[in-house]
Amino acid sequence: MAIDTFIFVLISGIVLGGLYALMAVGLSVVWTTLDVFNFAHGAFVALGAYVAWQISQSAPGPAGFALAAALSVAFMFAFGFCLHFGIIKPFERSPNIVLLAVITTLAASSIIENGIQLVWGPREKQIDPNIDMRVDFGGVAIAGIDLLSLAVALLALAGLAVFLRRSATGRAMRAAAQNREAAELMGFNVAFLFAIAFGIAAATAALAGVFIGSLRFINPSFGADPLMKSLIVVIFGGVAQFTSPIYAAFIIGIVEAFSIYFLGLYWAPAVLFALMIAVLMIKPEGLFGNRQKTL
Amino acid sequence: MKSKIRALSAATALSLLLSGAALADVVKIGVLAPLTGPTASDGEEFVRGVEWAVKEANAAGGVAGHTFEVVSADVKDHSAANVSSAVERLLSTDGVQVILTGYASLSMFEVDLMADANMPYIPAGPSPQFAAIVSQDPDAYNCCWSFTADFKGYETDVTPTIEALSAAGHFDLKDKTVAIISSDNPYSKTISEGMKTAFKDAGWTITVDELVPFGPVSDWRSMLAKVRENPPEVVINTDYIPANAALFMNQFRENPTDSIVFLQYAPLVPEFVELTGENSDGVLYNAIGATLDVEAWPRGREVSDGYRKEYGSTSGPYGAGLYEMTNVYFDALRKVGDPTDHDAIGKAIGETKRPVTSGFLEFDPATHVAKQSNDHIPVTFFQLQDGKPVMIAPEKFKNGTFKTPAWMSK
Amino acid sequence: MKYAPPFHRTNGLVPVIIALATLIVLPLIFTDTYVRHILILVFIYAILASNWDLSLGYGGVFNFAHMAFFAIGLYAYGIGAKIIGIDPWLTILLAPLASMAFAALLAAPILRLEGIYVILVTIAASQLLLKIVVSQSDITGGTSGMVLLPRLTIGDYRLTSDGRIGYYYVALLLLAASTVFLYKLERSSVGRAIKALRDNKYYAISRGVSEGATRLYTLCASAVLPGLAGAFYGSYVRVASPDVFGLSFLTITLSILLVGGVSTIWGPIIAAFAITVFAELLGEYGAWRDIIVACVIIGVVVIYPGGLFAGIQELWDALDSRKAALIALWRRRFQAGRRSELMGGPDRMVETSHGRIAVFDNGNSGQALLFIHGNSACKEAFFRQVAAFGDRYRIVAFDLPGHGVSENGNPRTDYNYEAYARVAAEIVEKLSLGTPIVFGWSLGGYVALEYAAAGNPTRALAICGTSPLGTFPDDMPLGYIASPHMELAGKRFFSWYEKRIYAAKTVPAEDAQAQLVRHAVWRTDGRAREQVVARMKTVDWPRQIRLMKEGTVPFAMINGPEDPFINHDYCAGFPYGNIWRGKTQNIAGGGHAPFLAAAAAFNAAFAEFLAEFETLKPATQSELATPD
Repeated sequence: MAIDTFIFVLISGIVLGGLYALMAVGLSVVWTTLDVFNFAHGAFVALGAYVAWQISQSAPGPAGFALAAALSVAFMFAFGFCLHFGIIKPFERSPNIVLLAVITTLAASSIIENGIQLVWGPREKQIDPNIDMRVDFGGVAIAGIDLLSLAVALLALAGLAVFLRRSATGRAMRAAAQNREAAELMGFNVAFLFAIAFGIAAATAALAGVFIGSLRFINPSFGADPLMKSLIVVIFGGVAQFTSPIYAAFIIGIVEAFSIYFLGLYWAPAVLFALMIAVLMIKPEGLFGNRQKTL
Repeated sequence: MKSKIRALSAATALSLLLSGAALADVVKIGVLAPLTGPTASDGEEFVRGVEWAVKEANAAGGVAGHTFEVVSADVKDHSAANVSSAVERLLSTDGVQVILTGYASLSMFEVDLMADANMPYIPAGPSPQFAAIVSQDPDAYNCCWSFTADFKGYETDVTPTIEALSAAGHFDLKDKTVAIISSDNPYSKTISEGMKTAFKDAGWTITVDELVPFGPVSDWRSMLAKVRENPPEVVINTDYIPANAALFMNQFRENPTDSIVFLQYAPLVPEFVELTGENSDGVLYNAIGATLDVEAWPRGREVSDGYRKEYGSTSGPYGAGLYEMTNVYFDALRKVGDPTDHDAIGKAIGETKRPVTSGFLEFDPATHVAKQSNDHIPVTFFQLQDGKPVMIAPEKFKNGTFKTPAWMSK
Repeated sequence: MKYAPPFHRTNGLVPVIIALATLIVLPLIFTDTYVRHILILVFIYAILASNWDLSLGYGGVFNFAHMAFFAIGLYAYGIGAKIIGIDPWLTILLAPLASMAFAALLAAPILRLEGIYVILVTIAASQLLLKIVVSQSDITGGTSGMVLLPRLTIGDYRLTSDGRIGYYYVALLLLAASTVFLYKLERSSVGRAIKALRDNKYYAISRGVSEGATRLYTLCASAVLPGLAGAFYGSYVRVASPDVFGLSFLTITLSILLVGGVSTIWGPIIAAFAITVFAELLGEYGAWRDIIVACVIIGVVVIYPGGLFAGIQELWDALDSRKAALIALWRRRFQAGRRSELMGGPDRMVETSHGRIAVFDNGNSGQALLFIHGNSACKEAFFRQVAAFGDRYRIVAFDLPGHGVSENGNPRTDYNYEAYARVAAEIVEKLSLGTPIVFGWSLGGYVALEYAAAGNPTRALAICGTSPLGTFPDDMPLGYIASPHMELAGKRFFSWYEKRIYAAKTVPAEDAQAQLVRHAVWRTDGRAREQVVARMKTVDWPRQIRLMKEGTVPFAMINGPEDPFINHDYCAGFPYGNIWRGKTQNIAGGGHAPFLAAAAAFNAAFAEFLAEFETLKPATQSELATPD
């Protein structure tokens, strides 16, 4: 394996990892706070991408792209915030919440997917970021948009970490995640905090969608693949901590890139699935998880 | 229990609805199409093609005294349960006398349901699967005729065409190396296997031979890195999903090798060009059954222009195809007169000999598949030049010549 | 002890017979193959969803590889019947072995996992399986699948002939077999172990339920019929393709299960009909169809988290108490004569804070006697006492709320011991009964105890067929003989058989006159039974115990020695403070209702009891507290 090939595979792994982290972090925020698995996460990614695409149609240039991304993230935050009250809130006290949330999020995913098809049609689209820059890494050219996606992903994750660790709302959310009853007794509006968590998840999904939409293509059902990938990432890293899926995302991105190179694309997903089952059997709380649930 | 009874009464209502009186002289044309799900864009084209043909026929006062109506049934994600439900729905709809589709299931198992019901059926799905079913007992499948021609040409014609282009001085083939990437679906896999044999027989070396799982591919870079390690003279990807092929093209152009790029099927789909833009200029592809939108084939030109006029956009492979399939049925009906005489209609379809957009249509009695050759449905080779497909082979139809792609050194 | 009557003695019998008969006749009415095809798919979905419920609902194992069981059955059929060439029928019977083997393999990785992790691992496992199936394209046909799988035939008859009627009946048979299997399994000891492990894992383990073995069993049992159904499906559509592993197939089945209601056998079956037919009816609306179906699914789960079956039960519930109220109204209006004839006088309605109560009052001027009847009985149970003592005493008896010809009450406020005792107190007050001698039978015994313990005027107290509970709830199993029929006392819905058996056990008199009492159970509001038992824990038991132990009120216990419910030794051994004649009295031949079944002997004893206490003034009670 030549050095430039190695660098190339490594970089594509890291870029993938950034995307995976962005996709998975929302899933893990919802899981740690609300104790439900959001199967509509893939549809959030898709909807975020389509909203951004719509805006970028009327706002050209890199500035338009930035505007589209920002508006899409804001829109998806509001969307997720509201959706929480429709599909999760009603079962808050139900012992069956895990199952009920599976079916309502699956149903929501179907609604979003078909809604996208009705509004934007079934054909493939691409968000044009209008960034033609290329960066040379040891003889390997990397598209600017790839690096931008990585940078934005890291920034967004750092921002989220600061929000959760430093801001009052973020601390309240972590409190609600750790002990709901105690948080309620302290006077926090837990339903509101949970809705914010859902909104944040949708917003990060939108950001992931914007970049997938500009690196690749979008169609109404393209969310299924990001959902599967985030699922693997979340299991791999463990959902106990908000940061663990992020490390896992980069590891998986790099493992995937190299296993495609060495094993071929055909068996790479199987390797990931087998790895995931093995991790769950040996360390069910995930590679970076511990038994204690903290956001 | 209460709801069970209610559900049953709903089923009653349903069947009443379906068996509701059809207008005596209206022949319904059933269309199996993915109206929802990942392939809904193709499904839209199926229905458009048939609707256009029906509109024309009705405007001309019908065929053999019959007017037509289109009934579509959703095959959703092409799963066996959904396809069989859609088929049963059409079979049970009063007045449906023929069923057409671009493709319904990848396995073509529905052919058997059509044979059981003796329902004339013209699909444009994968012909090898169709032939495998029909050739077991061609007489039992009198109803079913594959509009898609034999795929053999996909496997055999690429090697000689590339060699001919090289012989014409467009590029050099020094060590005859080829990288072949395929997707694990019967279409791509059969073709890539055939190509490999053809290349090996012609003395080529295969530098990369990779199979990717069927479905969306999120990243080709690692695979391209492998290709680049030992730059081949030809890179072939038979993954036919347009988004996959487009991503492949875009990522190939990030660090291109000095190679001819050949993609299977995908560049035929209009959005491939949209998604890749300039990146795909120079890519080669071929098609069996593509609309021959060239001067040399007036029928193809005529239908393509008609479709553009009707819908304001260029037809993909299915819009024009379904239009022609509907016309094939109209011809058969004109000959037989009675739409309910399915045996005669089936026979008449099988005897079809007429020009269609993709060439000259004639069925092989042994497999019920359209014949493929330069005199029937040809394998046509295209190159994208400035975002437009230019037919560069065969000689008989071509409307342009090969241009060396921008990424290749002269 | 678990009360599990055989199916033909439950309320499910009639609806199931009607449904089955309908499904048998249906294809003869609709010769349309489309309707039959949809129904065949419905049956398959129903089998899949209801068997999934075994692991997901009853077992609490969030197994999302359930579709893989079906897929394995399907591919096993394809490989067995087409490639190996085994007889199709035999292959269908063998296919479950393959799906069970996979289930057994699946049990290992999820043994240590809980909840969402099980979902994730099982999804991953079925994706892995899909990969393997697709990669073996020489055998499985890869992504396009295997086609032209052998048809099912009987002799030379193809099951597809005559509009697929053969397949229809085989599918119906499979669904019936699946339902019987689940029904039996749920009621077996294994079924109870499965549920116990879900409800309280550590308690179940400490009671000897093996977690590993039970999970293994749960998964394997839930794989049998999906395997069978998969193979059948293969013989029907004649194609085995990997789409059965897909998310959409899983989503439909899961929706059916959750919309129908988890932990019910019938819910998923009903939902399979409802959702499939609904989705087909919307077939022409493309993307709107999926949106509408998804909205309906969310709507149903939000409104009825227990699923459609919970909704149906609610409906059934409303109908059942409406029906009971109607019977009460009918009897009040049109059977007053019969009651009056039995009791020697008419009853009338008295307004109380717990609804309008039917009261019989003979209007005599002597010492008042207040009779309180038992569970699912009525005031006419005491007609033999009215006849025997009516000339000397003022006899008052009333129907408890939801019983006899009284009105139905509000289940939350009116069906509990405190409310019943308050009704008694209000009647005593409204009818100016002074200080009555109170007699309570069975459930009425507790009402009488509660009435007296609450400090209402009581000259003396006699109970019958009621076990004094020293400590609640610990002494429940001691005070009563455990029998399946104990369960009936708190059961809301009685089947016809249960009504008959309950009446026969509680009213051990078969003569024509007692018929009216036996028929009281047909009218009783089921919610009254359910609520009074469910709310036993809110009763102030220590107050009742104190009353009996301290002996401040003269107290008698008169039982039938053959009473099938109460534990006589326990009753006799209770440390009463002041029991009449120093011990519990037994009336031979009295059963659970000696005043009815052995009226002569009972009345003789009761007369002595009355004679002894009728002249007492409440103030002197404490002086007499020590027995002579």
